[in-house]
Amino acid sequence: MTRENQMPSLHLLGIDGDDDASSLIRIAGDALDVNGDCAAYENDNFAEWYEREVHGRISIADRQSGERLAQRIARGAQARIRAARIAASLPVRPFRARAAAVVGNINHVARAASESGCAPWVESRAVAAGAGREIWDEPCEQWVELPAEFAGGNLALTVTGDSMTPCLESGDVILVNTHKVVTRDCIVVARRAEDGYVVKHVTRCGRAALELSSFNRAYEPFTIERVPGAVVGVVVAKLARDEGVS
Amino acid sequence: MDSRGERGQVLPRARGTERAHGARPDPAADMELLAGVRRNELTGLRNFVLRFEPVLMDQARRLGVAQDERRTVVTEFLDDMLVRLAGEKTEAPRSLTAFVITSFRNCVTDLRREAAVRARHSQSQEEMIGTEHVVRATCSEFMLRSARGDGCGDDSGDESPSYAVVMLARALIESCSYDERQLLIWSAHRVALRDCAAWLGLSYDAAKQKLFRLRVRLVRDSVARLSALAGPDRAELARILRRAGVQINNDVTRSTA
Repeated sequence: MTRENQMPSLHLLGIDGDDDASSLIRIAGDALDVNGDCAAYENDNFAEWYEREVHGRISIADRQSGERLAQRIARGAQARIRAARIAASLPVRPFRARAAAVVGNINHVARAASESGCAPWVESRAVAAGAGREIWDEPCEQWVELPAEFAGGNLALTVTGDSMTPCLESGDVILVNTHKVVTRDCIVVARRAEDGYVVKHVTRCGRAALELSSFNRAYEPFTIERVPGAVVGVVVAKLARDEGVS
Repeated sequence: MDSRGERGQVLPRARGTERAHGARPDPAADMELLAGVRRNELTGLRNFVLRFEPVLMDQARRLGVAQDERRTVVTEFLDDMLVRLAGEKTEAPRSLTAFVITSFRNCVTDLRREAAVRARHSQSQEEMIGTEHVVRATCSEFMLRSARGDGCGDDSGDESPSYAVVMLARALIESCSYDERQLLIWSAHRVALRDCAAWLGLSYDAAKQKLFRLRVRLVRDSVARLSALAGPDRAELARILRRAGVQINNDVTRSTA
């Protein structure tokens, strides 16, 4: 059917001519666009044409404010990516608790537990993101069986608080190695004067001080001095209570 | 992509214009940008944001996100997208731009749906206990309007279509093919028909014919839809059609109804 054959019916429908009909087409296109239709943007050529078109009309002022915003978003994303990678690299092992063969505080049972292929487990709120007494004075009535790859010097602690989400959630049990050397980007359990024991991510590792950060952006990073007893140990694994363990 | 002719035969792909094909961004640049993001380099992340933030801000405007919420929606999306891209081990998307834009549009659509569910839930709560403040607290103005479906634009003089046009769009999505929807949106962006033809893999004449038929159908459908509407919605659509130059009178409405 040719265009000429079509035109009379167009007039019958009450349309003036091409320009006006185009206007209706644009209105319909805008309507589809605002409605979230993705068809047009799935075309690589159009997507790139559109990108060039948008960049072509950015003012200098917008460009400058964009630079500042980009820096801010990039920094935030960098921290989150790093956190996600650390979380992904933290091994997850099955959680198998059993009654302690020797009852006493951590200080006393640590060696016996280690010799039995276990680690003392402290479930009290005094650790991780809470405040409280010395961890070594905590009473221990339960041990967790250690996976074969983890030798002695371990301690199992229960996390409280949301400062390390999504890597560690409240209620998670972590395995902390008290002999491992603290390095940048590892997760440690440290003692903070005002908060008690905290589990945090090491973002800066100096000779005299450590900068510790939370994965949850709602919490600000802070610095602690590297004095004896400041760091309890390095988190080496997460012990999953569920069956599905990777 | 549908590039079939009148009798179903596949038409030869058009070569396209220089504008359509000649000035495309280098795919290697996309790969390099993505590699920078995956290495978690600050420069790479920053360049990604610099490249896509203006595009997404424009998309937010086109999607009718309220002006005071655009920055937040775009920033949160970019943040999530960077984490997602950095974590993915899969191959890079064929076109990073198309991937980012369509992901953003889907994200806004999801936000609208969530807001609609929240608004419905809050509305039922409100009916029970009379707490309008719950709706106000949990939904932004944009989300509320989206949820109600009464136009999505803000009051800052944007080009967002009205309720009647949004309703027309929903009808169009059902009646138009994928190619036709592409053509409509490209026309709204004032893309040259020659470029549209190239992107659809059609000859210029075939694209022209396609657009012409689409116009005819659009007018017919719009007028038919008008006759099915009543009250303020009808008046709204009639106003829009008149603005678009469609002469509406009672005879036309009756004859097409």
